Amino acid sequence: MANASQTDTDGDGVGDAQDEDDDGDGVPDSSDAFPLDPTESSDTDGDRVGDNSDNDIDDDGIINSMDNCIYTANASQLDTDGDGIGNACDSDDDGDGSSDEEETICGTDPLDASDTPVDTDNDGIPDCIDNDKDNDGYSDDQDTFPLDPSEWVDTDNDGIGNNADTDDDNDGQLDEEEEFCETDPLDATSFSGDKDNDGITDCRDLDNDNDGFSDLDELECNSDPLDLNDLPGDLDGDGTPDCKDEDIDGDGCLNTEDVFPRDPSECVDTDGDGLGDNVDIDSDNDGVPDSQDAFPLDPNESNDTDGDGIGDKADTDNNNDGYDDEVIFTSGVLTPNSSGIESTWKIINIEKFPINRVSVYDKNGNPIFTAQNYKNDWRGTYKQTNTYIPAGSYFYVVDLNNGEEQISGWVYITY
Amino acid sequence: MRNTFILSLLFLLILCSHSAKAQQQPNFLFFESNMGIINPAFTGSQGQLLGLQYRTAWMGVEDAPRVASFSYNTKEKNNASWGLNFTSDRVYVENQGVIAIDYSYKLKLQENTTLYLGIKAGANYNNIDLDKLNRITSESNIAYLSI
Repeated sequence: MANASQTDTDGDGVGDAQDEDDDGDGVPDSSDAFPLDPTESSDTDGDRVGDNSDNDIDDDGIINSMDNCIYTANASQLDTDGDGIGNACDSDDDGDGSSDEEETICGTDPLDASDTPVDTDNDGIPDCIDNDKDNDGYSDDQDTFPLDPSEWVDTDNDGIGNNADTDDDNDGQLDEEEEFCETDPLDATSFSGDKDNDGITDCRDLDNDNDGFSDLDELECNSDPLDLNDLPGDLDGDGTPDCKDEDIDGDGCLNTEDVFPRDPSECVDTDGDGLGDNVDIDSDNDGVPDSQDAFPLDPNESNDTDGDGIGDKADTDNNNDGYDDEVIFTSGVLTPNSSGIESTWKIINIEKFPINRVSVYDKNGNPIFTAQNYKNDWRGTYKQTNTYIPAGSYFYVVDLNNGEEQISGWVYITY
Repeated sequence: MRNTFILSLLFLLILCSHSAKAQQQPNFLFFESNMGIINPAFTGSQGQLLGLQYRTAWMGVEDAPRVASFSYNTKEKNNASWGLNFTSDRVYVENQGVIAIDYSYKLKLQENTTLYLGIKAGANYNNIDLDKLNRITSESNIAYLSI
């Protein structure tokens, strides 16, 4: 670019002809009122005196230091709210917190502090320009209750918002019940009915025809769970249908054990003669009537001589003396001066062999005592003198005379 | 020698009178072969002697009497001799026995007459094994307390 003068006002090495900020004050020449004066760049009132050196920048006759609005001419110095900022440059002339602009839009008086626009949700945005006046997150054009922060939808249009409405779709079934029954609480055509009108919603009702049998039981027992007149069989009327009843006749005797599962008066048929024990006069069919049978249900037994609960045939101790009736027990001790069973020499069950013969010898083989048909009464005395034999060990031989071998052993006598 | 035997026998009769009511004691079973078991005066009169004896009666019968004895005596020295004997007698639940020490002294009275003086010291034991009794009841019996 031709610049024969080579003028460079700010001496930055770039000639003014090409320098966008000739005076180097940081304000480009295009917007600098004083492009060649580095101390000035603006002249608000256009009096050709730069603002920096102009003591009345707005030329309203009030010097800057006294002016409550330096850059705007306001000779009147009007300051409605007395906040030190003249109305001419105060964005809220009346100091009521709502800007003059908002007040103008909302039609309230920007110079009257008592006249402010409504702000329902107190979010600082007056209602007239707030598109979510209740600040519930739903814009007013989608909010049935634009001024109620707790409500926004009213599905059934009953005037009660869904949040407070216990039956949103007004189909007569509460939302809670619909949720339990998994129907749509917002759809009036979707709800669980009550077919048997028993007050229990179908989805909860275990007996939908109200016939006393649960739907599950009826299904299992092949009757119609929705037909009050179609009932499953229930012989004993206990509410459990026969097909599921472990005791169909209700006699306390389970089917698995009941020979007469459908006869409440019979359970067992001990002898298997087709007559239940209750009507059978000889339940075990042993020929002895139950009334005289000590074991009416045991065909093998009918008597219990010693009353020990064991029938005579099975009882090995029919006299209940504590010893097996079929075995001979010979005492190996005799204590004549004691009072117990050992006070005489005992050979238990010897009485079953009345032609027995017993003998006692001393250890040198001399006979001391003999008896036939022994009565368990020997007290250790000599038969002749009735005096006691000496203490010690004696050998006995018991011959039952039954063809069996003799029984022998030692008996110790002490006093 | 004949006289010696008579004196010994006399001594024996005196001893026997104390136990006349009891059953025969085992001591007598072996008396003939070893009189020293009963009579201490016999000790040493036959010279040094070692005896072992065992007798069982009633073969094949369980718990039948079994008698055993052991005896030993020294030969005479300075007219004195010592002996030791032990006898055991068992039957059924009974187990009794004697262990004794004998001493004898020889007095030469005349040419043909010799007197033996004897003394015996010993201990008896008598054990009854109640657990082995063949009882038909488990009731307690007061008679056992004195055994």
